[in-house]
Amino acid sequence: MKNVPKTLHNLADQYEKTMSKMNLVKSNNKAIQNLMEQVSNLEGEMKFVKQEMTSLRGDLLSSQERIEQTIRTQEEIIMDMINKFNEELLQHKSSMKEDIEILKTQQDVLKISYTINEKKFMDKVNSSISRIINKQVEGKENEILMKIWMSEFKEIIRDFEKLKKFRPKEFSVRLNEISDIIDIFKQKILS
Amino acid sequence: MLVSEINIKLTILGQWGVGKTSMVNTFVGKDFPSMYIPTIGSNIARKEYRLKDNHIRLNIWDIGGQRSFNPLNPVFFSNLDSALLLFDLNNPKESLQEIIDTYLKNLSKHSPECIMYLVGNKSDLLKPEDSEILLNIIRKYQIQGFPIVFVSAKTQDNITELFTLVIFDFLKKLEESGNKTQFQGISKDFLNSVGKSEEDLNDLIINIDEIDSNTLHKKITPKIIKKNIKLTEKEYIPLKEIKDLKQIRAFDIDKNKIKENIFSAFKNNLVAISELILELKKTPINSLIDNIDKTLDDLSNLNKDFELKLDSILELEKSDKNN
Repeated sequence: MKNVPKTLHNLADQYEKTMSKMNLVKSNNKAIQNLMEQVSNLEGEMKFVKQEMTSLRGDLLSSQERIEQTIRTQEEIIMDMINKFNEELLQHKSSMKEDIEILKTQQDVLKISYTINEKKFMDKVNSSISRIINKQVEGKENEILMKIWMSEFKEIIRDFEKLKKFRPKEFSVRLNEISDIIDIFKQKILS
Repeated sequence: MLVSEINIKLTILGQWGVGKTSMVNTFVGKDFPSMYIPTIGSNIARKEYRLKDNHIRLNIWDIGGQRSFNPLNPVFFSNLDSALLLFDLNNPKESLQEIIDTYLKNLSKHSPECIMYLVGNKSDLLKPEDSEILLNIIRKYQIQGFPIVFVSAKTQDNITELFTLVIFDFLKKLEESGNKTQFQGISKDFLNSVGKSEEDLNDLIINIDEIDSNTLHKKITPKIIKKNIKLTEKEYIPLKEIKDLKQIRAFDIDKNKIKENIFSAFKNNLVAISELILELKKTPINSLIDNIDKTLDDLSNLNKDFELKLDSILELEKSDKNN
């Protein structure tokens, strides 16, 4: 008997140990259950989040599409405006070109008319100057020619005095010049 | 062969109205003037002769004789080769006196080497009975040492012959004094070219000391063979001296004709200037300085002559305005 109590004691210990383990397991199970609940809760939340995210993505996509659509529409409007502006500019340009051509033609006409009038005017001025001069010199042409020649001749004589100082080449050039002046005058007077 | 150019400067001097211009005009082929037009200053005419190896240019300076408006210009007397001293056979006293008093003095001063001739013009007007008186007057004035020739510009008697004599004598002088090889035989060549002989020319000269009035009259009686000139057409009217151009209206002279003559002379003198320059261009370098001086003298004096011509035209204009 002495052994029996010991075994019993062991058993009791074991029982106690097992019971403690059982209690531990029980508490673990609870914890697991809690965890499971928590996981399940988490999954639910995650599902919700996923749903939210899907919904958000959908919102984003539709919003992006809307923005893109708006941009495309604006672009089209601007392009239309640009095209319209270009068309108008071209039209304006072509009408301006016509106007410029008309102006150029008018300018040319004016220029020609100015030239003609200027020539007519100058002709009139010249003819009246000639008339006045002719009236003034009428019958005195020879006298005037003589006067011109004499002033020319005085120059020639003045130059002649310098001839001796020239070298042969310069002398020859100067003498030719004098000779040319005399010849020109001779032609004028003899004609 | 190179052709030599020979320029002869001949001046015709004498009292106003002795017929200097008429003589030059008839010689160069112009008509005998129908009225007396005084020469203002000088008028240069020229006649050219082309020989085989030589080209002779006779420059004839016709000098106005009206002293009152024709001051004596040294150019008329300088660098002369020959001079014709003209007197009027119908007014020998005055015209010979003028030659002695004015022209001979200037000629001996400015051109002592030039060949001079005493020329009596208007032989067509000389009456037979006046021949003796004429001879006596000429002898009295004792202008000796020059050949004496009587001519008539109006009938052209002895005119061409006189100028031929002038050129012949100059060429003879050239043969004797100049480059003998270059100019040898030139005087004979010239006579041949004009169809005259030395005897023809000698026959022109009157020996005043030996000739009698009959011979003289026969010698100078106009042949009247040229230009059908009728001597009896107009009565001889003595010329009047013009002392002031402003008073020209009193002289029944066409003033425009004087102006025309002045301008024509102006043109001729211009051509002469051109030829002076041309001649200077051909001058050899060793005689260039002398020739420049000579040409300058001529140009300066010609300038005075131009001034005189222009002044005369202005005087004539004034006479227009005054009237």
